[in-house]
Amino acid sequence: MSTTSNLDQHRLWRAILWTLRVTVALQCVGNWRWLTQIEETPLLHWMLDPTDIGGLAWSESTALVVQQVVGWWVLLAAGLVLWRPTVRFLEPLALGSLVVLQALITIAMWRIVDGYALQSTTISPQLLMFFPFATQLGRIAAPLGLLMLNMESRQDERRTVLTMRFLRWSIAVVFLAHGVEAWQQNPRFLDLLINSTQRLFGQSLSQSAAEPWLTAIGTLDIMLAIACVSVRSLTVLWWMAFWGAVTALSRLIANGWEVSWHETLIRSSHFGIPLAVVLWWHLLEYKASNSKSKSERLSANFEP
Amino acid sequence: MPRRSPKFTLLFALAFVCGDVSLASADATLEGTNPAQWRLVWTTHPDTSAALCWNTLEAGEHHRVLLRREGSADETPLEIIVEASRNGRYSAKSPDLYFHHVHLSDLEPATKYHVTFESDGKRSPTMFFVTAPVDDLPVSLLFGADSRSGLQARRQMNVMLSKMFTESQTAERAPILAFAHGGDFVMDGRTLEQWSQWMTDHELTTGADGRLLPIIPARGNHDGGKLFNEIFAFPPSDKNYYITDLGPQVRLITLNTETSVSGDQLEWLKTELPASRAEKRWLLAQYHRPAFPAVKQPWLNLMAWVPQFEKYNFDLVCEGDGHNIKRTAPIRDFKIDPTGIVYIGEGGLGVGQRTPKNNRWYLNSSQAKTGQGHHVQLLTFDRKQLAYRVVMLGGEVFDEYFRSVRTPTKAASQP
Repeated sequence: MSTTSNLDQHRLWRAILWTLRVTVALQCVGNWRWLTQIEETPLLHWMLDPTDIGGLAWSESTALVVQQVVGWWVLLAAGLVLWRPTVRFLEPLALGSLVVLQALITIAMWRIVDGYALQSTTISPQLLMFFPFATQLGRIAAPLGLLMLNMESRQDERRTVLTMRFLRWSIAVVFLAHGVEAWQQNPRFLDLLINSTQRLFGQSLSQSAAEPWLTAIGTLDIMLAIACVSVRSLTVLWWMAFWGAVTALSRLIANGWEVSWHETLIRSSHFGIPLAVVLWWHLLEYKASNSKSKSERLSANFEP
Repeated sequence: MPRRSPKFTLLFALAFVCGDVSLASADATLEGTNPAQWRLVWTTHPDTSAALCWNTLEAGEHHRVLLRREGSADETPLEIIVEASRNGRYSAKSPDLYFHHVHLSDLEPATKYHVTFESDGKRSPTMFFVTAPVDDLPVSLLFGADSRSGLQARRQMNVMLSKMFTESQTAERAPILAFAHGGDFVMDGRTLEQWSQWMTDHELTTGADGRLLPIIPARGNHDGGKLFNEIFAFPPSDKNYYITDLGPQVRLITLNTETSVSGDQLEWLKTELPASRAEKRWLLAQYHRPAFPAVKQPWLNLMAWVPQFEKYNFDLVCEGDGHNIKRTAPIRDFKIDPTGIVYIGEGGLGVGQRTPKNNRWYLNSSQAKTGQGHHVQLLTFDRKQLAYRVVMLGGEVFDEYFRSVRTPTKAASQP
């Protein structure tokens, strides 16, 4: 398709792809540390738990070996995504395996009842069970989106549009889920806020002072999620990228480098995806402004 | 230095090798308004107050406990009637199950109370409990955690707890007063089916003589949701951190790792600790996620609570979550220090066991000990020393540790 090949040549398009590549690579490095150094992951606990409570009942030694192998493959995958070897199947293999891994981590969180610390009084337990699928969606979407974009040479522009739409909805779901958690006063978020304030300003923020802030942050997250999929605003996407980076970095600020650097990297999709989407919108605007005929305008393919 | 007591070790080992740790089959039938799944919960002031809880399969209309203080006239066997202060359907879609809570207050310390649960005229067997003492006598406490899986082993452990509880009441022993559960009671705290099974299994902790073992619950990361407060008779929005005095000289502070550890809870802890340390000979904490874990990563309480533990010289800190047996070397300021705090526990009330990471600096020491297996920690306090023992399923004592009184207190120095 001609339009896609036109996009291929543009530096903004290359920037989008490299944004996603770096996002996925950072996520891989974070996951590598989590899986191989920290070791205590939902995946490990799922493998260890007995079958009557939803686990796989593997022995500890087997589970740890499997996790080490997966962890080192993830690091190798980061290299493959950045290096882009000439052997064509290696990059899709790396990205495909990362999608599967992130999906498995999410399933493990669901199976072992992890990933939603909120003591919700308004959300039913049945709905809460599926919260990890919302909070983790960006981590699955980043490698999946890159995989889909990499396949574009054999497809038409429609795939690119669908992929960018998928990424946009994914990050909206992530912001919405985190917004709901903030609204529900997730104690982990409260501690992040209190500890970050203490470390940055040397001033202790009381819980009663932190709670309204968290409500405001949650409200803003939910509004951003809604705006992201309902209006075409570059400001919204830029703000989401900025805020995704701030919240990922808050782990580092609150808990220190040694404890939490991998937690920040694992959340790279929270700023990488909005950044990729906003670059795509800039590209669409650029193309639209340079189009000679109205019918060629890509904005026609753009939602909303 | 405090001395070990090999006689004690032998006593326990013999009791359990010779004893039968098979499963009791005395679970109360859960049907209609038949009272079942009873619990005796201790939080604050167990010398004068307690919460009695039970369940019925149907809602019923009239729920109460019949109480008789030991020493009352024999011709009035049930002299006090206390109506349930809170009845309701558990906050879960299924199964249909109804809780009933009675909050007792103004009880006499160190006194035996016979109790019968009654719902719509149907009565449980008559059991009894004893309130905490106010005299400075040697006492014991059981600590355990992580009963969320391994249900067969969980029931076996409960039978063992019941035997230990009963046997400790003999004259020459420091009686076990209560059982502190460090959290992760069930796999999914939002699933009533799992809680119902846990509550049925908990009946097995009742002694053969009908003595109810008081439970002091801490919330674990698997115990999320509303059911925890309904099961243990906390107010609906309670955050589950509180103080329990086991006699005049032992204070157990239960903390909650599943709510904010740096916010109100930390402020409350800072407020409570100066008086706690000044007034009590023995100061302990229990909570779920470990600050000095043997398997997992340190939780956020490492930075929030540990400085307080060290500032106020806690005598022992009990942790769960790691699924192994752990006793750290004494720790102060992130170094091994003989004046430091010893962290014990990690949980083995049924869950499968993990391999402790003994290369961690606070475990890689002759002053530390780790292991694996279903177990409970038995803590005994007297005027001179605190004794810590790990009792395995089957009765073997796996580990012992003793420490002297570290802070002379006003009460302790009295003759």
